[in-house]
Amino acid sequence: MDDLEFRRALLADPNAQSEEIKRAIADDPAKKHYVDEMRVLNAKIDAAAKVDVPEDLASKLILRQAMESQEDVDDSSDAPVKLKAANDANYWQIAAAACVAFVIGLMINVSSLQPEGNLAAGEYALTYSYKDVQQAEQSIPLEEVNAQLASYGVQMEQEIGPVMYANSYHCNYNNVSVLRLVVEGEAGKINMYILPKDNRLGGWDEFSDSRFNGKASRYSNADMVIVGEKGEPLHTFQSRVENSMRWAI
Amino acid sequence: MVTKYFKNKSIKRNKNHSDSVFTSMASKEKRYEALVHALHKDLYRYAYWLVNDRQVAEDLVQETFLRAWKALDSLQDERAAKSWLITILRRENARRFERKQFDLVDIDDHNVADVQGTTNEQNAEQRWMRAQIGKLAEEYREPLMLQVIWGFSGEEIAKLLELNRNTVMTRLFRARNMLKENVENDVKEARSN
Repeated sequence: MDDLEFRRALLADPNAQSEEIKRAIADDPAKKHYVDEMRVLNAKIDAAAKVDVPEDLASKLILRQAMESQEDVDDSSDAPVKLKAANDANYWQIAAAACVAFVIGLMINVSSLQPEGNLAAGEYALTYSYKDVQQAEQSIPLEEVNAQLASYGVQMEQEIGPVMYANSYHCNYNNVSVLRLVVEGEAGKINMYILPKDNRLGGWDEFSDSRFNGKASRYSNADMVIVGEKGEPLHTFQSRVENSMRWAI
Repeated sequence: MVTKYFKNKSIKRNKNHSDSVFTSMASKEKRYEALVHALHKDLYRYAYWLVNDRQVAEDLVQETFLRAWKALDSLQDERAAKSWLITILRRENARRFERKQFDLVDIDDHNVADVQGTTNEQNAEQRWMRAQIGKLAEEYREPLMLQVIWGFSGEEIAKLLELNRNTVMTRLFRARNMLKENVENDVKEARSN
């Protein structure tokens, strides 16, 4: 192996430990100097290649997947071929399987969330806010909204604006039921999320991205995140909500 | 009305699932999460060096993992997961170019956030090296990053990039040689100043 070949081989693959390279170093101790030089260069390249990774990236990837499988469930429920009635025996099997799935889900969530830290409530709500929902043609009556709110220990005493969507869904990401309300605002739709206290989210504060502004707040027995289009007076909306809400003690 | 609708929906949902669906779904989620935790960092770094932009890199990684989730059943062998994800990401990146030719981004503008926690001298050196890697043409940068970030061999890189092994080894040699020459020139310049 001549000098040029030796350098070429090392530059192409510095970790190559072929017999030829070892022999070349043994035959010519001056080559050792070149190997050391390459080691320094490679350490610099390795360090430079390791750019910082966004801390919440893993959480976001798991949340997106949870949303995706939620959509799969919603889609499949509309498939006529699957609408056959299940008998009682099936229900028991399903219930047992659901319990197993729930426990596995808990284990996965606990193990996967802890090392990564909590996803910010704002990031969580923004991800959902980009997913459009089918809204009602008319504003949903207050009593129906309150029926949905009841399990969160909240009631609304007055209208907070036209509510065009009110639905709770189970989120696999943090294993809680989240109530999403879509309210007609001044600058467009306002998304409102009511979450139980054990939602494992962090960052309870104001947040924004290129399209939305939002605020995540904690209350005594539930948490709330509101997300509005830029230009929406969210502070006014939040005070209206807070004045209307009666939180069960 | 709404309540009634959702009552119907939840009944339909229960009817749809058999126990095998539940357990296979749970194990699929477990596989997916393991994949995310094991590989998302390297995939993000690889995407970053492919596109030189943090936001685009993050979007690419999100799209890649979403496609991976949908196609997870087709991944038979976990050992093939790395190259499988890289192939999906490269395809997503090619689609991005079909949709829109993005403006070129100056790499120097995007490294300010990368250097926290190191000393000033290390900062400057690392920034400088990042800029040099960013300046390499993609045909050199990509095989180099596949080797540095993922530890792939020449054969594996050749397979991923659909090139022959000699071409890959030549590009790897040139990529490092360019960086080495730049380091030497930089040292010379520093001395002459």
